[in-house]
Amino acid sequence: MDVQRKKGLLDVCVLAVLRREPSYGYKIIKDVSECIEMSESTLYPILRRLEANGLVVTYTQQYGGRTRKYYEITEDGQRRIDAFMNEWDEIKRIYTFIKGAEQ
Amino acid sequence: MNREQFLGDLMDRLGTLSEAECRKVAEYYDELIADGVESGRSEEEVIASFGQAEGIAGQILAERDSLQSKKEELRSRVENWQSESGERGGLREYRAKGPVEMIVVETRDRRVEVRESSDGQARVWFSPREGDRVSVEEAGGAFRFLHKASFFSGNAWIWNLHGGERKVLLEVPHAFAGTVCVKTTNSRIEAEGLYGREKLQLVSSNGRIAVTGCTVNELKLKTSNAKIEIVEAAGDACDASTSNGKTIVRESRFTRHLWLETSNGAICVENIDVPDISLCTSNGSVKGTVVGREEDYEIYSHTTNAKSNLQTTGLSGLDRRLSVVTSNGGIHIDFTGSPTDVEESARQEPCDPDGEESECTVACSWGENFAGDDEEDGEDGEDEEDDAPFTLADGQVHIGQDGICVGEGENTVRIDSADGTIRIGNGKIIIRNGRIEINPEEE
Repeated sequence: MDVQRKKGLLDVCVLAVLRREPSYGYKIIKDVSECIEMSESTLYPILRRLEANGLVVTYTQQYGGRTRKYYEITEDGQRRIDAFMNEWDEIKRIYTFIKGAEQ
Repeated sequence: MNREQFLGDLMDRLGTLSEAECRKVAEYYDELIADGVESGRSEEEVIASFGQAEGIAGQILAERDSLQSKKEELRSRVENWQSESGERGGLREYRAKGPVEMIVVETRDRRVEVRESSDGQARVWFSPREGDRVSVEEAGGAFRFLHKASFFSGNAWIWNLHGGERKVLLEVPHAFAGTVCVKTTNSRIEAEGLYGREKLQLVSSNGRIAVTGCTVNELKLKTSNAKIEIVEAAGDACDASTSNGKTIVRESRFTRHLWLETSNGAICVENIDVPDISLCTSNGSVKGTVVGREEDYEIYSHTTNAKSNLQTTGLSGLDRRLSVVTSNGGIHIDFTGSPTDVEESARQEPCDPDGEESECTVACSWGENFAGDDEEDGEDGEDEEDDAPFTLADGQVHIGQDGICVGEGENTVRIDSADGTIRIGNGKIIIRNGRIEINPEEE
């Protein structure tokens, strides 16, 4: 898949995972990978970007003698997902258009 | 490769990144290694799955650069502001050195503007002059900018007129999640383009407050004798209180509540999406549009001497609540239909708080026009003088052409400038030819 397009989709995938519940790095990668391939090194910049844009907030929690950093979706993060879902009709139209032009 | 080797290698390659950023990267990978080992893989295996440190560092630095170009764009905007204000040379920067959780700006008789910081640091821009005392403190995660004018504050506004625009510009970091408190007197406060989870408190007196395009956690606004205007704001909750001035909220969304309170002024809401709305005034109308269907709201509506288009529903246990209380002013609230996003909801006809006030009695008329309905910006709070029902000068209260009215019902006190009468409830006092006449026979 095109790198730029995948980048945009991954942002929303991470948000979608966080919509279920706040989560941490390792689990986010596991959950997102069910649907689209994502490496550890890809996730880090995504989380930084989402945080800088106010779409997620972070907090740390003690876990088995160490700390885990949790990421929690914000209202704006939820809105970002909604906006993405609303784009779907448009994408479908473009897809159909491209498919039609192929024949 | 073991954990220490990997993290050391990675840190070496992040050379140009700040120490704090490097620490975040190290913590992130450290946590992943621990979680990987816990799930049954060996440390080496987990680290090998990350790929080359060079590639990892490259991705982090690329993302940093793209964020930085955005920041530079913002910085150039600030420079524009400086040159616009014509005080580029004289502006001094008061900057927080470390990360802060609380930002406090206190000034007197100075207009305050709140904007987003270009580089994630809290700072204040101000141009101190003779007689200004500024103290800046930073302790325990709190950054405080305190300004006092050492000469008699009553002269401060005259100084303003001669010295050109005097303002304090506060820059709040992007995505700030702490508390921001701004306090001034006799001047306006404007906040624009903030984006974070902050608790934003803006307090003034005799000066209007405007919040535009801000996403915050909580918004608390308080002033007196002036207007409050909130446009395109979002957050959890908003409390706004003024007196003798109107309150306007447009295209805004709060997930918890919106409580507006004023007196002697109209309230106008336009396309607001909030589950708990309380609009309370006196001697003024309440108008506007609310997102949602009327039947979704538990409604309480009360006015006197005027009509309301709302029906009080009583306790209905509905999720959404709308309470509208006024006196001597009409209530007219329309509903947009089904709940939608503020931006997407069809734009309703904008309500016009300056428009006809047919249900309004004489008593409310001046409140509507107070605090500068004109959008012409003059000097700090003083441009409102022409429309103001009263002004304070030389230690005296001067009452404008339209007179003044305080209180409600039988307790209303009205001073009429045109014929020099003072009316208290149904009673009347006239000062004529140096004599005080109480309840004189009508001529």
